[in-house]
Amino acid sequence: MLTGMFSLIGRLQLFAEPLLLWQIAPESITTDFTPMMEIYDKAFKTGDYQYAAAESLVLAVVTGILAFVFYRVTNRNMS
Amino acid sequence: MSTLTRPPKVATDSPVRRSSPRRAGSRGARKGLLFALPFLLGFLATYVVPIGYAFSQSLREKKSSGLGFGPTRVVFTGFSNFASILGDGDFWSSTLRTLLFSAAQITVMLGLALLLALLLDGVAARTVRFFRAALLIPYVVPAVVSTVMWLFLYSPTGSPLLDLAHRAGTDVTFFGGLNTYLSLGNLLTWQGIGFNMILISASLQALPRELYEAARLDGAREWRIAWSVKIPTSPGSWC
Repeated sequence: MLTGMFSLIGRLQLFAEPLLLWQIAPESITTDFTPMMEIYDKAFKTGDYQYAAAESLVLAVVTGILAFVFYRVTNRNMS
Repeated sequence: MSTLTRPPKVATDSPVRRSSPRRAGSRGARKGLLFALPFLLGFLATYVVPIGYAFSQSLREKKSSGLGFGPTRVVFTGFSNFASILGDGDFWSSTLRTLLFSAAQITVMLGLALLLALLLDGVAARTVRFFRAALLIPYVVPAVVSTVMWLFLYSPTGSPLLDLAHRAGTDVTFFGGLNTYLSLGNLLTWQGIGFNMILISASLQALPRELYEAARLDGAREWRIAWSVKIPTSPGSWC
């Protein structure tokens, strides 16, 4: 399920859309709405590059694991 | 480089060449590497090196000397950042929120994309071309541009949609509670549906047409063909 896999990976990297929408809805879209926004906030507002770097690596690993699991599950269904 | 200008010899009349296939292989590999070099350099510079740098940074922490008034120093602290991320509620709650939201949004988006792809599969080729191009436009528009466009539509001040709703006598908001997710989901679905529809419709076109004919001979209607033939058999891209 290629489409699902691409979408899943794309969604975990969700960043620009909520960040822009934050301008008109700051009370419902928080600064840690998505993991990428949280990382951005940590790195460039708090200024804690080191923690943000660690967070982004954790996010990459989480995304990798989820993509792997997703691939495994959908491929089992196929055969 | 003089070897390149020489006319190519036919392999059969040069036994020397044939006897050293290993050297020819390594030459081929070197040529291959040369061709891959532009990509490889870019990949290293923009992918591998930054990840390595991020990893080396993630093992450090900023510490201020003295009572917090002195200059800050970056010191090596091993995996302590990762340990605190494991217990970071904000990070995991945002990840979980994104995952739950994605699960719902992707299901809706792919469902709609599949529906559109099946509809496109059933109509004439010229119509297909038009709709495919039309539905792909949101994907071609840069994400930020389309977000700004939706931002104006969603904006509490001056949104034409809100204006219409107001004239109709209803008061809707695009944000707050579940509405936030619906608005964001609508935006993302609008952006992604065309691309996913193309992928699904490509996989539908890869199906052998005989299957449809066989199903039609068995008396299956179009939607029955879609449900029992197209969806279960379309390979790879979606099922």
